[in-house]
Amino acid sequence: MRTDPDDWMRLGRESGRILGELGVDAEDTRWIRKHAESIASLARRARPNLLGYLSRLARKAARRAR
Amino acid sequence: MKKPPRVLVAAVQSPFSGGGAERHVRRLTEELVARGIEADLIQIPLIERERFDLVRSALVWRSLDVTEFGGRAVDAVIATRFPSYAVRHPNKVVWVIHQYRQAYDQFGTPWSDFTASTEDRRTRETIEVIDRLGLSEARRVFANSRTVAARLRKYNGIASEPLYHPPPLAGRYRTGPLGDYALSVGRLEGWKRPDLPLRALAHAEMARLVMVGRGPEEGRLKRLARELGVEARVRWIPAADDETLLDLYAGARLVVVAPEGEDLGYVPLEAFLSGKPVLTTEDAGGPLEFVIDGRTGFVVPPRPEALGAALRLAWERDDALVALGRRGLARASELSWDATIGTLLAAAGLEVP
Repeated sequence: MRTDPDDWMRLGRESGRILGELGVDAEDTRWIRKHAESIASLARRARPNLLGYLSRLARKAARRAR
Repeated sequence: MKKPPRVLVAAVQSPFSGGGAERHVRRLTEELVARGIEADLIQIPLIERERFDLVRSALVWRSLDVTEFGGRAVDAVIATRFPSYAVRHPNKVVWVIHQYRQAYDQFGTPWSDFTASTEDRRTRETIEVIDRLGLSEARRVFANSRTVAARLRKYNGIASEPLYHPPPLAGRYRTGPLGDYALSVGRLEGWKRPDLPLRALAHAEMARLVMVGRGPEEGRLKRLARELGVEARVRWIPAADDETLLDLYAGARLVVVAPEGEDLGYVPLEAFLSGKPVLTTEDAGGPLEFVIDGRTGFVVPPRPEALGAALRLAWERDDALVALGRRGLARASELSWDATIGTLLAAAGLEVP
């Protein structure tokens, strides 16, 4: 299955929003990092900056959802 | 021809340690199917290796779109345990089997490993948010007992209605003559207090005990039986298949149920449907919704000597035991899947076809 890099971004944003809805705060940095790691692990060849980027996305989305 | 309603039962799976909750959701699905509903069970394991796993499990449920499968709409979802009720569906009914109790009533007791650490505090807060979110958006919330309903109100401010159901082997339990052993059935773990019936034996020299179940306390309990000098009067059965269990119930003298704050507990109902009275404790929780002292069993303080006194009485008074068992049988026979399924479907705006 081929995936577009945009898919990871979308997944990061959507799941970050859900985490926020479930009570996760943008300050729960360890949890958000773990979550970003799960998404990044789906990418066959992760770009070096993907994890950091996903973490930022998820944090931002969680903050907005709260 | 009108197609039957489609209902999904959402449940949590515990691989390799399936207990009462797993059997319950399977039976619920079967009972729906038996009444012409197109029902299926979706299960996702609840991973508990680290705190974030709990949140991640809720995230998985929340991320699922279960509104349709194969181009056909799902008419309703019946969600059961934490965090399966985080699933989204416009017609969601929740039948709470139990919450994540370590974060609530068990917090601060030996049965919860949550500490005052920041991560544990955040996890408890997040579990509360998940519960509030998943339950408040449901069309209706049921609890499997008054005990669980009271906890939902106390800790989450959520109103729910107790909805009872028959135990897993309903229709197959059989009665038998009073036997020569008290029966204890359940996982051998701390909050179930399997040590209480063992300790009670030391206060009732004529009593014998059959302990069905396995769990983390097994070794400690066997050592305890030796220390108490009661090991010769205890028979250990780590696992019993359905037929063996039915025989054990039918052949018991009475059944001992000694947990602290049980949600509902099938064992009293199983005992009643086998015509046996139940010995339980004043703090047992769910069992007290069925076991009435002097009517369907014995309710005593959670102390070995009190249970021992009840056992001595049980070994002296055959006539009383038979009468208690008869009333218990009548009470448990009032529960039926017809009524339970009818209530759940009505809550979802559906009818039995």
